[in-house]
Amino acid sequence: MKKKVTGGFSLSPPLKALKQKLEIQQSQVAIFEPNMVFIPLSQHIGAPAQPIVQPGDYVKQGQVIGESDAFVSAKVHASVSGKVLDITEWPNQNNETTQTIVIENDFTYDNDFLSTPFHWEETANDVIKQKIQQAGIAGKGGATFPTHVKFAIDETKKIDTLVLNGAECEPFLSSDALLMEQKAEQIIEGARIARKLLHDPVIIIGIEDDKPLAIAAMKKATAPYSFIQIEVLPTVYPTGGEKQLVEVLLDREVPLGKLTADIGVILMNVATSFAITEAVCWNKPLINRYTTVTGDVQHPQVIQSPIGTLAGELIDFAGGFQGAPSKVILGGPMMGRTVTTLRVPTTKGSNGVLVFNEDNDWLFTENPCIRCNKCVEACPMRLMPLSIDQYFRAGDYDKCDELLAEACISCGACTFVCPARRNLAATITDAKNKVIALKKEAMQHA
Amino acid sequence: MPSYCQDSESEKLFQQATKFPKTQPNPHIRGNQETQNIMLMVILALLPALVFSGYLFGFSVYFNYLLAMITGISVEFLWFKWIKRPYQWDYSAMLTALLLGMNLPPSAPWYFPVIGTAFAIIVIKEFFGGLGYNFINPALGGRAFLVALFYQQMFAISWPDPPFSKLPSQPFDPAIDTLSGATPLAIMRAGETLSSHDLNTAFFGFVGGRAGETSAFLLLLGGAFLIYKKIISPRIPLIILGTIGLGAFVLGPEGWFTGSWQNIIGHIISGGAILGAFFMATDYASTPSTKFGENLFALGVGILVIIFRFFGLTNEGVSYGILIMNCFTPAIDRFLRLRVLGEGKQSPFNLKINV
Ligand code: SF4
Ligand code: SF4
Repeated sequence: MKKKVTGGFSLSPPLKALKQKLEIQQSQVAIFEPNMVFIPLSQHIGAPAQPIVQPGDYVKQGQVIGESDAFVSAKVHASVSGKVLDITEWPNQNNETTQTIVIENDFTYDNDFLSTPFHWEETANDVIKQKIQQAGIAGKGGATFPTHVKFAIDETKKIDTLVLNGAECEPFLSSDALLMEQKAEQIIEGARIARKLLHDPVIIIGIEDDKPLAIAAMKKATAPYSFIQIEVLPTVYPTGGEKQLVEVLLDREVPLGKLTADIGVILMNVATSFAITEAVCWNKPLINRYTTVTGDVQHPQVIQSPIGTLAGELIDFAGGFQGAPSKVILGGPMMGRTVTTLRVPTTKGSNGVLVFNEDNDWLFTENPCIRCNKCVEACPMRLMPLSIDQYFRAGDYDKCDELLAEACISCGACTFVCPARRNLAATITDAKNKVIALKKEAMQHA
Repeated sequence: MPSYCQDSESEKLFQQATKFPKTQPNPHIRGNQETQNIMLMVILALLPALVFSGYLFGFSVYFNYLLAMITGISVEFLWFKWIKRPYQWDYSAMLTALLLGMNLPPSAPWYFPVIGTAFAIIVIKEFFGGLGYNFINPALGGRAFLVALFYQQMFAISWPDPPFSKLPSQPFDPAIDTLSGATPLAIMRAGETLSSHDLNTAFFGFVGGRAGETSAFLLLLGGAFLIYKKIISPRIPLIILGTIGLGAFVLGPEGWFTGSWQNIIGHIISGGAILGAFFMATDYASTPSTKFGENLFALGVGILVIIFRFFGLTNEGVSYGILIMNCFTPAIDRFLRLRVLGEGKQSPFNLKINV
């Protein structure tokens, strides 16, 4: 670790009770096999895919069912084998609808995956890249950026470091930790494949110190490789954020408006790394996800299920609600989004389903800001949330811009710590969007 | 719903749920500090010194605290009625009232706390937009207003005579003498050295002064409690007291750099420096928003206290030092802000000067 974490909040001890409620201790992943999967054709940043199958077609597990000509776009695959029932508008996690392919699971899992691993060491990079693109891998963190785009960086940008993100972006989600415990070797292999594509950068893996089992497993798996280094990070939210991780591990700052690749760093989530191994060695696209189902459900747990499983069915599988539900969040408690229907299917980026019931739905009324500066201390981007909030509410967007509202990563740390219970992250995200929109408008008029 | 599938049990229950906040912005969990708790903790931290002040100066100071609180809460309540906003009970008026009471001379007549608190709450706090918008510390503002009105009585110094000995003959006529012994600051100003007995009595509070400020010991206890509870950071008080101590050393009685340790301790524990440093210079609303700004603010207060004490007319200084620096707070916040992650070059103190 090169640098102290700036901002953010530590989860202990103020959140012991929360931790008890949400954290999952589990060594085995439960597997859920739904009768039907609902696969959205748009799952990430970039152009939506077009369906290339018809209702009535039989599809194999892993078969491409949607693709697009656009470069920033990932292919979509059938996550189970069976009959295509329908192609329809279906609710998605943004509380809108998207074109979605419905497949009836025939539980045979008929597929064309390789039975002996493909040897990538001697293979040309282009072939490997092709395989990754074919597998439709998208970053599994919040941004869900198609992974092949990351590797397509032009050759002038020298990448010296590959950072593997094992710091769970969200508190209380343990999908990544469990993956590291169980699939450490595959994760490391994926990182090595990525290293080959990027012309041998060093690899640094950052893991938070509250995951000792994951650290042990990863240490064991990395032992043969001298170019891989494991760094144990303090458990402070949001260290898993891209820019924060780069700052903490390398003491480098990603300039505003630039990507990490611009300063020679590529970040990859451990789950993405695992998916790369699956794709390259076994021709297996991204079709399953570990999803943490926790909160007010009967049996909180990490569940492995095919992409396209409905949130409601995952909750059923976890034993159903405890008490009357009040809000259901897809993603984690800090950055997840509330949904209005549980018909929403999981996607490549789904890492959690979180349920709060009526008794503890964490709803508060806002009070006046007392200028305690806690939000300033918590902000991992070193913004001044209290001032941006105030100016935004007063309609002074110039000031919001001056205070660089655009840099906000919507991490929610400011709202979390605010004793006046102000919805800071929400107003600052609005301020950011407003500033971006106004700048766009100004560009068009200029 | 298409015919080929059915809703899950959970979806059915979810759609029936009545208490349903359709969508909620992130984050979905919150920390456990709340405005009310914070204010209550500060009041709690003041309590030992408050109770002790009655023991020192007699029950009449309790009347003053009580009057201040009643005035504070009722004027705030009336103000909210008048501007037709729902009244929010958050203990902040109570805190302001108590701090004002502690800054009054024990001999203050009943209308001092009433006028002072009313001015602090209405003019300094509510006129400027209410909680969080006051740019100066309300209690000190109220005190300054009283000084302007009743200069002489405000500077009367009473000498404690415990325990609870000076019961007022009638509630509104405190029978406290404004007897003047020499306070530690006065002794030092006269160029004499404090004996360890002087220091001892001053540390535990058996000296003349304003009602709530004399016991450095109990105020330090309260301050430590607030630091432990993470309500204030130790930076502001330490910098203020450190600067005062350093000033006392540099401007010693025999010329430059001749301050003895007695001088240094004497300056730190007297004249309300502890009360000011821990409880009033740490007021959230009237101090800057960044750590660097806060440090600068604290340094300014320390320097001003020294200037007032060594070159001013009276031994006063702490409350005016804080008030003056309060006025600089908006400027500090405007000109010095944090350099955002990834924003240009690193500059000294990790700050960006933003003109
Ligand atoms: S944390 Fe809340 S109350 Fe404190 S300064 Fe920020 S906005 Fe104001
Ligand atoms: S939500 Fe934005 S403003 Fe708030 S702490 Fe996170 S980055 Fe800072």
